[in-house]
Amino acid sequence: MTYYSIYFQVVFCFVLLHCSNGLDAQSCARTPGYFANLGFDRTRSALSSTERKFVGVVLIELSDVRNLQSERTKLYQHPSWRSAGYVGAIATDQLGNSYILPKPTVNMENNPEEHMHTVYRIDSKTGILDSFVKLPIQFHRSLQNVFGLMGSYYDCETQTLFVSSVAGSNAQQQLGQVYAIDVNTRKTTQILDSTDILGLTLRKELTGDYRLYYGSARESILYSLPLDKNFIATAGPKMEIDINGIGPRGDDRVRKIRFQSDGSMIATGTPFFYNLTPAAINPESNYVFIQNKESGVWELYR
Amino acid sequence: MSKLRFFILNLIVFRFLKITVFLVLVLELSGQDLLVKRNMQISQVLRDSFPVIRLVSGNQSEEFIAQELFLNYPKTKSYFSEEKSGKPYLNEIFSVSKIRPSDLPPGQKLENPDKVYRVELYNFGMNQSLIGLVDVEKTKVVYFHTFENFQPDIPPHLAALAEDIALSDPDVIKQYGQDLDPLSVRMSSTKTALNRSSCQRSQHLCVAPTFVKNERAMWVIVDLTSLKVVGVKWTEVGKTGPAITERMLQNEKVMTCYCEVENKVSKNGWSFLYTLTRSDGLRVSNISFKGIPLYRDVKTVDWHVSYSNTEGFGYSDAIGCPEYSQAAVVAVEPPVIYPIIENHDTVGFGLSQKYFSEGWPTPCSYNYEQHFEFFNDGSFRPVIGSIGRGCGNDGTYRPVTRISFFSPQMNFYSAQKNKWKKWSMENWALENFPSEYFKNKYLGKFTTGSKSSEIWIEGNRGQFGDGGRGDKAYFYLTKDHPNQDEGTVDLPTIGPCCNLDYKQGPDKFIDPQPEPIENSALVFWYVPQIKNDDRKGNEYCWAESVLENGVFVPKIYPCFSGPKFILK
Repeated sequence: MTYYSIYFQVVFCFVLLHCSNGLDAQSCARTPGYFANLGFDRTRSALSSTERKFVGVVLIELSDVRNLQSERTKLYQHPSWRSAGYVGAIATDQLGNSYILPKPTVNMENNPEEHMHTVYRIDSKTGILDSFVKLPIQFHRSLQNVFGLMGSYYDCETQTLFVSSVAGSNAQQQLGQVYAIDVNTRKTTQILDSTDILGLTLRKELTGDYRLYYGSARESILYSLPLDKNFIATAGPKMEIDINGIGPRGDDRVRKIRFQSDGSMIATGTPFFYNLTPAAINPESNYVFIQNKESGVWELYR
Repeated sequence: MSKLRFFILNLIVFRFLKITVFLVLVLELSGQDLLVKRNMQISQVLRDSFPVIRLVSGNQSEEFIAQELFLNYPKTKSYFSEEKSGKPYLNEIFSVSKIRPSDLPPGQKLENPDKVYRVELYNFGMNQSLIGLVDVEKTKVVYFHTFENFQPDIPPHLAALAEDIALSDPDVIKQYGQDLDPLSVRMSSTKTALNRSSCQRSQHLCVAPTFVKNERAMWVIVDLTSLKVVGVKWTEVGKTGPAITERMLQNEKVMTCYCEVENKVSKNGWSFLYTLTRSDGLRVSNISFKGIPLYRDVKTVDWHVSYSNTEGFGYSDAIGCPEYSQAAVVAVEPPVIYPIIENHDTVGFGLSQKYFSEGWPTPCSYNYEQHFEFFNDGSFRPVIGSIGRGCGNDGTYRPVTRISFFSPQMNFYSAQKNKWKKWSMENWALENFPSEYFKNKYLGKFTTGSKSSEIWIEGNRGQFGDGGRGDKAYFYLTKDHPNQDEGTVDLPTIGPCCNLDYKQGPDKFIDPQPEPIENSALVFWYVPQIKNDDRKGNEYCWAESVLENGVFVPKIYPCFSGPKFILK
């Protein structure tokens, strides 16, 4: 192992089938249809948003599926995949369509502000990236915060894409929002405001209602919010886990949340301070939590 | 058991001499502070074939046997030195304890758990932990695992050392007050605690001894790798909040005291304001010398880095505040004012600000430095430098510095065949030594509208004594339009990373319709072109991590650039 590898952890925003540390139990992501014509080994391939020397989405094939830093045996980028500029979160639906969020990296050169709230989609059949939905969020140009869309989660059952934005927030004020997008009708519904969120996921409760789990962009805390069947909040947010002081850095923000089939929860943490430090040099850590059956409290497992 | 006896005998015979020498050293030093002892201990073990500070001293206890078996385990030994250089890492055994059920990896069972010990070793160089389970009866390591970026709980003697370092620090004493003396701490008259902390940027082992005073607690972050205090933070006792870490202290200090906060300096005839911006680095403004206003503001708006081996590959980096900013490379330490000494004389003073990527100097991370040099004779030099390391050895750095002048009646002359040629329109030029230098020294001059003062520009040919090798700069003259978006306020990225010609950003304020500039308020843009080099003995704009005293330290090869403005 080299000294360099301590720091340089590639951030994968979406991993296909066999290329993850464990997929959300509810994930229904299907391999995109266009894979078939490209000659990639689908068990070792993934869409990446953080390939060095590339702007936009890149399909990569890893030499070692367990090691995200391993050599890329193949790389592919359709010309349209650059058109969204630098990108961040990627979510894939049951048809193999991938939903891509733009996210500036290092500077704003490739991410014009008028497109900061456009959700893009790579069509499973054609492999072409195109704009899918433009959210009704005003982009506030600010020296303090250049970010817009941050986190995404696709819910298979309701065929809804959830996305968060931190647009307009500054050191004093949170103006973040969460939208639910019906991917069939492209109808957008705001379900949360005044909250800056990095990562989010939805979980169905035994009652049939939902609970939105989300990682704050400003604190090392993961909250949950109960939602009814129409995704309307039925109560205030509840603090679920606090990762302050945990892990190699102690100040991570939760940028991804996954529930495992064994009931455990993996919170992926990374530093985030509303600056343009490239994600590729920000290390990540996975924190595994298990829910105490008696108290309901999530306890750190490792 | 005969195997065990043989092992113990070996240990006693072969270790006896070293242990004796070590004990003598420790006894001799018993009157000195823990820091001195620690430094001597480190020097001692780094000369040993096992560069490890042991926890259990030589005896026949099972803990000692477990420790020695673990240290003699080939996999453990493979982490003792850097493969490339053969230099030793500093290692330390943090604990040796009987195994608990939770220590066992999932699914693993042991035959005789009563005889199994868990040994934890911390590698300071790699910031890595090695954990082993050792069966002392069977004299073998039954489980071995490494954990990157993981720091086990520290042993009591390191807790005492951390406290000692905190109590010896002048800033800690100053902040707490006179009643913080080591005696009262050790007599428990002062309530103390040792809290965990993290040094995310240095990747060092850090802890936070905490001293209570009335209703407040003073957290002192101590770096046990570099053996120094990182910073101090007061909190209310009993209140919870974000973890107190190196990054938190650094960011808080910079954000509170410098980010968009104007600081004033009056020194040696100079007076100016300075503030850290969100994307244009440290901005120095309202610069006057002996009461004469000279420069409205000076700042570096962009760093363009291009790599020649891959066409179009590079970055346009902004520098600035560590949080809520457009900076990709951020200020993590406060600016510093320092004297400029030439030939044993203080000839002026400088103001400097450093910017770091996380993880520097690992590949694809950056470190930039800004200096503003104010000389006693009225000369001024804005300096900008890269300290590597970037994404390759084929990089060219092109920082874009903007200098606006106070006088509304400026004129500019460039040197041509040892004569001055007045510029009447906005324009740009490429520095060309010596044919376009005046007296082999000056690339241009400004007249300020005042009869008595001209500002001549001494080009950087590598004569400034800072290791610079010349700038080969593009420079641009534009009319200052304070009310237009031409850099008076923070500029977002001004240009692409990888243009090889004059199109570095300021050109867009010239093209396509240059304006007349005679007798006007002017902005001078300066874009040096600095090629990095990693060849042995020629390193430039480069940095490496080298192993010294068992831990990695950066070895730097800066490339500084910038012309000097001389008041005539």
